[in-house]
Amino acid sequence: MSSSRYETVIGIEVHVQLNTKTKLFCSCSTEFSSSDNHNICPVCTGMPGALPVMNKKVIELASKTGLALNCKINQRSQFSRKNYFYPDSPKAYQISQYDLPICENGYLDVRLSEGAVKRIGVTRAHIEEDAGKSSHHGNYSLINFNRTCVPLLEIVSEPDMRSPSEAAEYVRALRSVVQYLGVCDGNLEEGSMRADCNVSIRPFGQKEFGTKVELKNINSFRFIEKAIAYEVSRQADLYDNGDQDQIVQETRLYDADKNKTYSMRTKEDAHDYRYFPEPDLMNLMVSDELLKELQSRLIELPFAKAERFKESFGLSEQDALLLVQQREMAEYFEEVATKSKEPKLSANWISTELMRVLKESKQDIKDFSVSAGDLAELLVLLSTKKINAKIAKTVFEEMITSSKTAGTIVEAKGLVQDDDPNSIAKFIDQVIESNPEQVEQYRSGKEKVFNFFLGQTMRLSKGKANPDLVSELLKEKLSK
Amino acid sequence: MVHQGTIMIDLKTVQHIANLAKLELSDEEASAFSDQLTDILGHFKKLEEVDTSSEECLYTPNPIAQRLREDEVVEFNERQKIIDNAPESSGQLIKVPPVVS
Amino acid sequence: MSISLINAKASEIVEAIKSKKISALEVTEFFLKRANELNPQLNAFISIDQSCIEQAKKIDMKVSKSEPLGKLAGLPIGVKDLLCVKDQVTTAASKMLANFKSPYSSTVVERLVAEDAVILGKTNLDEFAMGSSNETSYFGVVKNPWNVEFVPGGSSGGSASAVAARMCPVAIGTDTGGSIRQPANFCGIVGIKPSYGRVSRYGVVAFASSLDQVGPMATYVEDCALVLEVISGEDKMDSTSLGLEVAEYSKESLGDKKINIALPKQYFGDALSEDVKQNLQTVIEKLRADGHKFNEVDLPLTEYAISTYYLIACSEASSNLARYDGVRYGYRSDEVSNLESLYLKSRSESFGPEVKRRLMLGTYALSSGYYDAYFEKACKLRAKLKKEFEKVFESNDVILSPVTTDTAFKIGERISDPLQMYLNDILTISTNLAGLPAMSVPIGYSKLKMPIGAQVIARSFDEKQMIAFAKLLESKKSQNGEQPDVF
Repeated sequence: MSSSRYETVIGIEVHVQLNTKTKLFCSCSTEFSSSDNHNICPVCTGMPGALPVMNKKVIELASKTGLALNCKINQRSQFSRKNYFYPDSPKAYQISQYDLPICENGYLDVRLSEGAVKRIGVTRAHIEEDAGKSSHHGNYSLINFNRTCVPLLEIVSEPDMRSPSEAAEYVRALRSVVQYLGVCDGNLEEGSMRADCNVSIRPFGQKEFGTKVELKNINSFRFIEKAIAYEVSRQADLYDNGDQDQIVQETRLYDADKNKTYSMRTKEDAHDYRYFPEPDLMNLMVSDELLKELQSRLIELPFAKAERFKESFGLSEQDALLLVQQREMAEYFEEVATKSKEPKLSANWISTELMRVLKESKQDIKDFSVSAGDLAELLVLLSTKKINAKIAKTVFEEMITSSKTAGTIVEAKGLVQDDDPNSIAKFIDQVIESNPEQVEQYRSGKEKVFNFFLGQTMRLSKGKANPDLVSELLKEKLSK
Repeated sequence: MVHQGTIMIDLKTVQHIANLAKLELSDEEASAFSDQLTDILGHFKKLEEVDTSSEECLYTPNPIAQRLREDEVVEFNERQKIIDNAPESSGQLIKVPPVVS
Repeated sequence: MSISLINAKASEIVEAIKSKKISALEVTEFFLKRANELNPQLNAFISIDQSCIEQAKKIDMKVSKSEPLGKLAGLPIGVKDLLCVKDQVTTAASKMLANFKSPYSSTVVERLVAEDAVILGKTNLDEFAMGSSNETSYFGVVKNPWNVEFVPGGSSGGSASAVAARMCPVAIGTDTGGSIRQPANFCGIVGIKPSYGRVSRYGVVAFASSLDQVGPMATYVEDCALVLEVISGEDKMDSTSLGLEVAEYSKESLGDKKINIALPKQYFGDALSEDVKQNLQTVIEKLRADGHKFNEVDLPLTEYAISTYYLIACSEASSNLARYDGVRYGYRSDEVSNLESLYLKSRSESFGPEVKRRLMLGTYALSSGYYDAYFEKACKLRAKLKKEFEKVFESNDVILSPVTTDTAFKIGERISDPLQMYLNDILTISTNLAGLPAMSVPIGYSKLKMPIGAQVIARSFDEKQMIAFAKLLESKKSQNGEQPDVF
């Protein structure tokens, strides 16, 4: 592919819908499932004379996010009007932040799939209101204002990403952060997080950036990669043919069905948003007290948590990354690991058994019936060899359905591991006696048959026999 | 910056501004605005005489801190009256002509 | 009827209703009849609410049940048709909003109604309050009751004309650059533009957000003060309204206090007509004789105020009026095939020439490449201008000045020259830029028997001092007892 001659440069603007009960500038609900034009009032429909009043919660959520992204929080920020006509923008201007955003100059450390860590600069994060929703029906369009004025935080990155996968990893990491903070549910498909990617290419070694194209409307991580990859190859083809001047600064939409990007506007649209400070709102102040409080309450973020899990629990990179993806899962793991004092066993169990069960039953860890303490108890039984691994899995299944503790189940069913060499020897003798043919095979060098004896003995013990002991005694008796 | 000398708001500028303001001007209107805006903006140029290099912009007379509202839902109960004002609607949705005809 | 309603003070009317000397219904019927009779001639009201007698009956019910009554019980009030009244058409005197039925009420109207006022109707104005003569209304020119060939001033010309002709004892106006004070001055009544942030703008169709203020207009200073008490104060729906204490303005008086009164040189220039100059001189002499001290002061930036004002006002307006796009309410052109033509045709067919001109000006001042030279420059000048006033108030209690350089002009006389029309506002606009309270108080008449007023400007949020002084000024008026032509 010709694109190997060019360096890809990507900057991303992510719109994060802040998790509030009410809209940014009015007291209407932000509930999306409401019926058409239900969450509306004079303010969010731009009635004559209506005025905006700022939602207090938004400052907290925006500042919290800024701190997590290592930004400077501007204790005085300002709202401006971005003027443009569109039916889903009821005032014909969007209230946004322009000159003085609430957050500036931060970064986010992103772990790339190859294991390397890359620091992506965050230029700024600013508060703005969402637009409504238009649906197009051929010779008319219909407008729903439920979504107008819903609070968004637009997080603008530096043009620091160099490949489609880096771009996707950045957005993934960002999503993880906002979900950890609880400021956004991070749902790309439902639009509570939206990414616009600015993509350009340049021949390796060239200092100046190429002309950037903005890709909009990308609603999954897979599509972020695919859309950028398509756009990069489109631009590379133009370069190859000496037509790089045909790359124009424009907005292109990604069509997932055709895996293509296409230009949103056919004619050159001179945009002049005529930003000016919003006279209906005063300066937004973040008090020292709020800032201090937020700083003191700042939680450990996924990146740092993964590092700590590796360090203090000795987890592998892969396990650590898997476990920190969701905050609740990470917290669950940490409790199991601490209580059982078996971090590696805990990590194994959670990443295999528990995650499999969740996946099969389409459950979230938040709603899982087995508490971390109860799972820890089970793992202690296993690690102290009170039960063996196979029994442990059975007990786990029963814990989920019966909500009994591991100890109770093991006790009631008499599942405690049989460590008595005499009773195990009896089982072995029985097996040897009834399978002379296999004994002969084993002794003539066919060692594979060993597993057959192991299985038969375990079956006779109803699974309770200590497998290590069975193996040891079997070897002893068969070699006689 | 505005260049020294007289300001001339020609017809092309008038049409550009009209387009931004979403106004469709007749030829007479455009030509009248060209003259009047040249006249008025020419007068406004007087502001250049005043040294404001040490001034911060004043956007509102009382630059106080933003008043804040608690995040509590208050339903507006007259939403039907908002929708009833629409020149055209379909169900509860507002109807507009297509982006491109 | 035990009191003469036509010249009664608001407080006297309310008192008479409370003490059952007269019913609210009688009061409302009296003014409603007058409004219905005089409106065809003056065009002061865009709509008169004939059902306002029902409001009056409710007040009388309260009286008969001895329920507590509000400060404005039974007082008929005209409201500028820029303020939303729920379920009533609010036009802003534009074809654009000729059919807009507001789903909500402005805070000011709610506060008036909460004090048992009767909303008599919606008064005429310049389209979207853009004008100084009330000639730009889609609903026609308003006439000055003192001489129907003259303009009442604007943009609150309908409110001024209605009060001057006693179609209502009190009216509500709005003032962005003089829109209360100038028509009050032309019509011989009192008008107050409160400090920016004193009165809520919620539900008031916005012209220029950082300059607009709502205020009362009435025959007497005390009546204006009474209404100001009711409409003032913090509103949780308006982020620019302030939570400062609201005094009982109607009870304010200077008493024996002697004050320092500033006379800005630039407000007494050669442009002043002989009539205005003489009348001001007369009241100044009377006040000086009472022991008040006059100081000539300098406001050198006055000559730049017009440019500063129009740049800021039009810029904000160009954005504020963008919502009138034919989508959700108001006028939508029939000639529409796509979105672009919806915007272009709906707006062009329904905005008048003055509105279009100001939208053009404002759009230009904010547009790429011109923002710094125009809008930003104006905002810096605004800062400087505010400081200039603050300096004057370091050693003066109030400023006294003319409101306009001359009395009302003839209808049609100036409408063709927009720049000259803008320049007329020179004496009133600076206070809006600085956010100061200011008011217009009648002090006499010209030789042609047209009213002349004086402007009182006070420190930011010092309405108390302004009103106290205005009461004194009112008592110095020459030739009391003159009546407008239509009486």
